[in-house]
Amino acid sequence: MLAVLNSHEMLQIMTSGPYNYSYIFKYIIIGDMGVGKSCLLHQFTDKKFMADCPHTIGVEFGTRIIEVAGQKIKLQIWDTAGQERFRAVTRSYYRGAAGALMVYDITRRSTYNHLSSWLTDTRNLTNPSTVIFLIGNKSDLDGQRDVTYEEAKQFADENGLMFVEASAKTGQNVEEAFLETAKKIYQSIQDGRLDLNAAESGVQHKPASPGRPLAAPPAARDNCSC
Amino acid sequence: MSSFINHRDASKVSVDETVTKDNVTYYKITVKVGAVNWSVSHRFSEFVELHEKLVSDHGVTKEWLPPKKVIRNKIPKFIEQRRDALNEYLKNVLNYLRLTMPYEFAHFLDFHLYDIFFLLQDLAKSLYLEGDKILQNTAAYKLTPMELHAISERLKMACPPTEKVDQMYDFSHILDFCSQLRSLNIEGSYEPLGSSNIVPNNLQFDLVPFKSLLDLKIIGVPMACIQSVGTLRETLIHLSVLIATVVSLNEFLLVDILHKDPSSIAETVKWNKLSVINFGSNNIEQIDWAIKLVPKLQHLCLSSNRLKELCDISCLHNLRVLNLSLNGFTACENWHAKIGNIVKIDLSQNKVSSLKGFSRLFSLESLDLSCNLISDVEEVQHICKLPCLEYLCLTANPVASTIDYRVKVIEQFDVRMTEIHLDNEKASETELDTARVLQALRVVKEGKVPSFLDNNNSTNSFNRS
Repeated sequence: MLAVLNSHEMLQIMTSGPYNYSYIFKYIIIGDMGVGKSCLLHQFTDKKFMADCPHTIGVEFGTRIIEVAGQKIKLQIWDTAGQERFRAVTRSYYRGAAGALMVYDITRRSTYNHLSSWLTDTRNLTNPSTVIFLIGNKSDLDGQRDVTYEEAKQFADENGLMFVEASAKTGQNVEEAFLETAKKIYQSIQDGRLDLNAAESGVQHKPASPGRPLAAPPAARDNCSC
Repeated sequence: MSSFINHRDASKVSVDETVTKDNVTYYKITVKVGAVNWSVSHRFSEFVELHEKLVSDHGVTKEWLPPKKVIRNKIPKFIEQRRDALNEYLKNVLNYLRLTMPYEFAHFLDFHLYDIFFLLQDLAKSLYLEGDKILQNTAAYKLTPMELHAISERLKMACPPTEKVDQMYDFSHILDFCSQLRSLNIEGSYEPLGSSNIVPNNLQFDLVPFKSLLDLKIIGVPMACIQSVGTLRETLIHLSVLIATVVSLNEFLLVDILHKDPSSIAETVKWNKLSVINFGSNNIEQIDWAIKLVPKLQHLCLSSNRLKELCDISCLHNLRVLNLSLNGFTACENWHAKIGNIVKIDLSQNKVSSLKGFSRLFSLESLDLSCNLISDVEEVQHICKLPCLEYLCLTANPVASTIDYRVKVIEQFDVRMTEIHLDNEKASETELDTARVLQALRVVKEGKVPSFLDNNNSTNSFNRS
């Protein structure tokens, strides 16, 4: 019974407007086990750090609405299990991702060394316009650093990836990683490089609801291949 | 339910029977996917319609479908031949399209009703289009055990892409919706679903995708179906588990905890926001220790169970309302030691014969004892000193059919007699007058000075009337 909610909470629900957005972008988070994928997602969606985060079984899911260039965008984020045994399951979620966040742990070199295989998977299973963002997580543990910023930056540049070091614990750069990815995707829509009608684009318009016409952004309309 | 994706090679179709209704012949198709089977009937014209789409979009050979026939198409021999031909046809098409399983073909065979993948495609579409509208509405949303099972299983499945490519059918819309849903109803059934051999209450599911759920109502689903409650412990405020043959509260509260033993239970399994619990119409014989996992509980309803005695639940400091109607309570001893600041108790339709145990529930405002076995009007003596009591219900007790019942009860409340709602009705002036006479008689009999003579206020009111 929702009557249990007090009026203040109710008001918050009504006004925070989780239904007010123009696009849906699909993201996927990948990387070795224990690099902090679920924590990054949790930090981004709930602004909290989960200290003892359980291993992800198969896939997890999170959503948040952000704003890019005045447009409200809903991010649907698939957080995949890093464990090898779930690889078959997680592979089926690459398809149709507009953004891929590839995560390694700056304190564990092995997770960095595996990036090329993650990148191969991503390139093979997503479409060419998918934005890939490299995140070096656990930047709060600088003392235990095993991979230098410069080295990772070079890897990112060589492969045309965006890159930051972030911390799911302190929240440093977490917003930025998700937002920059969205900006880049939005830019692709604007430039007409991303076809909204293609099944693999990972980008969708919010469904127009009857009685409340969707104010479609003019740019999107211009570039729509329809 | 079926999972075609995992049982492509263990899937079969056949046209076994024909049924003629209103001069139209229907061909009954049996579909088998692994251990699951169902049937669906189509007339020939529907086969033709399907065939046209399959030929144009999916490269099915045009000649596979038996030809149309306009005249003499009703004779049994012809129908039997056609059934046989359609049987061949479907087998060929299934073999040909086994890997892609196009949407049209899946729908023709009712996969969207019984198969995990195809059912979820349709659900995703409807939630993509309607989800936000549903979420804005505060009314509860209903999901069947089948849909929940499909979601849980789909999360564990490695799904290769199929023919249907529109993003509208993407599974993420379902999880998106679930993660925001606030109020959910789940209704179980032991009846096989549609024409299939799927029994909803045999399907297992978990509630992991629900991350914002405040209100959950489960009706007729055995607890064995629920594998995990996910993050519900952090969000749920209102819980109802009705007609689910639950024997103990911990069946739900600890549904995903393997060792349900009090010593090994950590803080993390507490239901920190849960304040209303309704386990009506179950088989609960005892309120067990698991109730301690709900520290904020305000309202507990265990109507229509098999309770006979109340255990100590004084640890529930916020408990205000207790509904124990339709149980087997007989004696209610020392309830003040078992429940804390209770305000309202409903004990209607039990076998209570004495009010002694309620004598020290000083916070009690409302006591419903209708349909019990109270026969002596003097029992009211036990509760007449409760300072907050305003509502008392004693209808359908033996005592309620005695002479001057109302007056005799009201009289015992002494100075508060005007405040009491007995059986939902305050005492009338006439009743009050008679009560005061009775009170005077009691004084004489007991040789005590009635309290209304000690008290100026009540003396005034006495004079006024």
